[in-house]
Amino acid sequence: MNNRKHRPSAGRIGKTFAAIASVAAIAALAACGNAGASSAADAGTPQQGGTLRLIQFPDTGQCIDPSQAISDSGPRTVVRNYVESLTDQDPDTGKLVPRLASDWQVSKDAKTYTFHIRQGITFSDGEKLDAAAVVKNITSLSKQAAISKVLSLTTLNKAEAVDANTVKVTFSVPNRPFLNSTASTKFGIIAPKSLDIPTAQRCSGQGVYGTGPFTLEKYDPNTKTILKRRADYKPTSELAKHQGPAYLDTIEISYVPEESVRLGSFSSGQADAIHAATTEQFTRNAVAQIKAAGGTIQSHSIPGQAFNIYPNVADGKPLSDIKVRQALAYAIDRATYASTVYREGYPVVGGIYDATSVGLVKSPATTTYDVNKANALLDEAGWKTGADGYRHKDGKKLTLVWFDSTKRTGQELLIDELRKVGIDLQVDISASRGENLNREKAGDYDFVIEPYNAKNDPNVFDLIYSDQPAFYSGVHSLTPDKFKQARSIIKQADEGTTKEARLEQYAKLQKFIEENYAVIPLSERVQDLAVSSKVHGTRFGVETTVDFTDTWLSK
Amino acid sequence: MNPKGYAVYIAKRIGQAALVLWAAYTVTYVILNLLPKNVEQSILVARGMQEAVGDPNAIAQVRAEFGLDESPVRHYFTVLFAALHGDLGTSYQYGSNVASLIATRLGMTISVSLLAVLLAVAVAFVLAFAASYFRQKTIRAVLQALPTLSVSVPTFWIGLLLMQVFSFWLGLLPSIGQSGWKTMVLPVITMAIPVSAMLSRLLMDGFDNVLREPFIVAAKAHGFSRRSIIVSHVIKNGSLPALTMLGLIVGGTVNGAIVAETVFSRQGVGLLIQQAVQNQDFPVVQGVVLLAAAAFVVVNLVVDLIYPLLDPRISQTSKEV
Amino acid sequence: MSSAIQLESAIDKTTKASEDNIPSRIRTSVVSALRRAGSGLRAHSGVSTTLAGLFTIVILVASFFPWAVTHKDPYATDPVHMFQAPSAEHWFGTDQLGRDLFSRTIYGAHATVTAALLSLAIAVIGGLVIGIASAYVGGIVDTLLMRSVDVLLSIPGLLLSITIVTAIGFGTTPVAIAIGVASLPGFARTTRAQTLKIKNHAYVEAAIVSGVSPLRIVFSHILRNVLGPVSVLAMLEFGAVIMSVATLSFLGFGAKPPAAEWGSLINDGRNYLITSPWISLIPGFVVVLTVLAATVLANNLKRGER
Repeated sequence: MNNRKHRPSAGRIGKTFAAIASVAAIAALAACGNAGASSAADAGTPQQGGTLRLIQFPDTGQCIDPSQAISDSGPRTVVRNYVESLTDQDPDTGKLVPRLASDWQVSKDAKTYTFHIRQGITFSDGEKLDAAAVVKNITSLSKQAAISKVLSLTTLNKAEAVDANTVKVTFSVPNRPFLNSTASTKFGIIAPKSLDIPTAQRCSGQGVYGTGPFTLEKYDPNTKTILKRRADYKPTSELAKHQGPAYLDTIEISYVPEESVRLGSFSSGQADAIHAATTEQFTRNAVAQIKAAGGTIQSHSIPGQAFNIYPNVADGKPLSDIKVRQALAYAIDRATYASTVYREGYPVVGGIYDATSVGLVKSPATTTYDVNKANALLDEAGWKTGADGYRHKDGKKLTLVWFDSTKRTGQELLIDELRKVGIDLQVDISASRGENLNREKAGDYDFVIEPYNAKNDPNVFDLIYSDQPAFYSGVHSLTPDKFKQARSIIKQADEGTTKEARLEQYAKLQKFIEENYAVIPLSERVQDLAVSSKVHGTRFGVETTVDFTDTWLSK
Repeated sequence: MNPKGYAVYIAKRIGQAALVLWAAYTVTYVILNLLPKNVEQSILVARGMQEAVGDPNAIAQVRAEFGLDESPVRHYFTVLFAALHGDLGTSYQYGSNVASLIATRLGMTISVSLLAVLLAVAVAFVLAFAASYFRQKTIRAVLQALPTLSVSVPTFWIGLLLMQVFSFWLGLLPSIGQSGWKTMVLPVITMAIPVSAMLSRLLMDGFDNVLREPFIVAAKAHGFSRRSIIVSHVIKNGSLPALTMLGLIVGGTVNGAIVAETVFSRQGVGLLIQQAVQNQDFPVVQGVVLLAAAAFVVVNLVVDLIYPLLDPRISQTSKEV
Repeated sequence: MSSAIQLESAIDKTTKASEDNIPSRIRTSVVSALRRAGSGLRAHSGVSTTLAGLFTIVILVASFFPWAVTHKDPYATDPVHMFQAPSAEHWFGTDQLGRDLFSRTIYGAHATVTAALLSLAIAVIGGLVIGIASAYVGGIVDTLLMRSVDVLLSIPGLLLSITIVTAIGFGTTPVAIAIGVASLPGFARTTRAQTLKIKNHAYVEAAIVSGVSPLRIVFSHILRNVLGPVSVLAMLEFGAVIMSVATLSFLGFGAKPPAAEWGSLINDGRNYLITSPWISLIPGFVVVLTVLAATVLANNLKRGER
């Protein structure tokens, strides 16, 4: 390596050149390092103590109250480690296992749920977990408009304590998706006294206590968040690999917006782990740097929606023609997208849900790459290639506006892929969330990408095709009458009495979406975590979270 | 200048400063409100009320709360009146008071900025001293070229390179974190380089001018050494003109803080405004601009006030080059 | 932001201040400081001017006729050839999508230099109008205009630019406008100072007295004499404006994808600094060299003028 010392008199230019030389040398070294990357095998006996220095993406929601924290992997993971839910969900199979509830029963009509609450569990402020505490939580959640929709609590009749440790929840209509919601971090059960704090004030995390393996020592989304081990933690989830308090003393979370800084800090040993954002997967370049530093990538498919394109089919928009939507679907090379924008071996999307989602039906019609078919369809639709290489019809250029909130590598690849079939893709970026919502509402775009990860249940589309939409992409991706049809399929599904009948309805929904090209899948979503060779025993939970109860550091 | 004249001068200067500050506030207000913006939705989303963005009642409530339903002129006077009382409004993005938002982050920016200015001043003096002390053509040429080279390198680029070399390659200094002196080193150097370049240009020139003054030529003739002449006369007289450029240094420091805090992700006022712009958080943008303008105005005011006291030749208009 | 313009406006500020007894020698000292800025390089003046001139010509040609400099498509992705180091085929290497970085840098010159020229045009024209009006009309108009200019000067340049960008939106053109407006005060001050000087010349006074229309005086006498110093300042400012465009685009307010702009090229490449340093470093050097070349040329030009 070019490691010679530079005299100060070398001057700026000299230093800069030297810097380049050194960086190049590092690059060469990094390239060699790839082959020898060792995996962090969970060998050896877990060791007690230590601080895990974790890098997360900025918490833009600036809120750590379980139900109000934004649905990104970072805040959800903090929540998961200090607050627990009634159930836990196996991220691989979607199977529910007991957590704060030791057992539960569902009535035949799916209107009544009975939960038996574990005994001997306390919140970190000393209060006891009992039926009354759970009832208070459920009642409070059902009153938070946005949350109650996400957690399928809108049709709640009543939550009541049958006895000290039994909770009965009744709904006015059959409500199948409810059970999967009980595993969500948004369904985190907090101390009764915490619920007395006004909702907005709970965002700071102050006075908010849970039953989790860690306590929230400090929450500051601008600088650092600190979780401390709870010595008297009583284990609750059978998915945990060991039964007892956490091994780690402390988890220290820094928020770093820049990828280069995240990777550099990890490589130079200033951090033990990088927890990727739900929307930002590790790229080929990131993987190379992490491996060169001796780290390992852990990755898990995110149950829920894939990265999907939602076309705007309103009258007058180019995508109102189903042939153009079909052509768009054929024009995207998803395999190249996955290996270029992300990395080699990255899963290729096959339907509107990610691979591990309950009830996924693959959709080859909307996920096949075929430039010839795309061109033929566009010709058929009357869009003729002009001298500029783009297609035109009635003097109008075939321009599609992709409206997004941040700049991503994928946009530039897609622009070029669509250019090959004569579609002029314009990416319009606006970071202002208010502006964005207004534009989405007004349908001032041709397509948007709306990833939303609520829970491992096909009913996430209830939020997209909603009668009270919080996301407007669904409203514009179907004509009004088709939108009604989609809603009625979802309603039938969620009020269905058996699990099988429900999934059948959701298969029908996916077929319906496919036939209408109402959703065009773009890429699979995975949750990534990079850990150094010191870190062992990390466990992915449902909803992109990482549970650190079993995590330990080797010396 | 007689004492009475000086008093009038002070009063005039203070009045002008206040006027400039008011005008800066107004200009910013006008610029920010030039085009209509949908801020209500941003406010609702920031409050976690995503589901309410389509609700006219919720929007009306927000409009009333932030005074957005007032006419622009009326709203201007409302916020101006509040600003005069130290209330800079409520952030759209964070929902908290702008003044306290700035106050909590100001410490981080000021500590780094002050260190950067001190470093810049020290480096500039050393460079200027060396440039006037050495008479070898090559050394002088290199020393005088340094500032030009430095101002040609974008500040963000300097920051990236420093981080790459000292943090990622040599592993000497941390690239993340905000506490401890080690985390301050790279941002301080990043910010100091452009400021010192600007300052050393001024000083080199000031020194050269003094060296050509008759009394220096006389001192040389009396056999005083070059070093003692520089130390005893040139530095003092040659740096006076640079004093009037302190306002420029304030501007350079503010610019540097925005860039350095973005590069090193430090949660100071610079990053606050960068994020405020991304999120169209107008009250925060307005507040930070007011703060920067105040710093500029106050520094210039102080310079204007003390300059006549420092320079005995102030009342004589010297014409020499 | 732009140190040149701020220095220059500071000169004018002190000129004005001389009315308040701040010595006018400061003005001369700063002018010569500017003049001196490139003097170190001027040790080999001929060589530096030639090199700077050649480089500037190359950049200008690249900006206006990018297709003549490179035949490669700056937007064509080629994932098979991503992250390739500089070679005979790809002089500046390829990026994360396999695009040719040489052509992206050339087209980036087009975007960045055009934006910088637009900024300069706004600053120069606005500055000329305000400066001449202020000096020529004098009185209350002069006071009002110059006080307004003072106000704009009290807001640090970068801050003023991003405030304007907040209001008018992100993108290359808004950024250019914002920087142009933020640089305008310096030009207004210089123009005013020059106009005042010329206005007092006997022949202009004679023209005024003999009833020649003010517009004619402005065009036939004043503009001609003001343009020289203003264009030198514009040249000096050119490098600073390029840096400002790059900085704003670095801060995330600039071009939208897939457009190549120098600042965004550097910014996009920073994630790959360790594995593929050329992606960010080469465009970075092009920016540094361009700014340097412009500064050296301007300084030598300024010296030549005296």
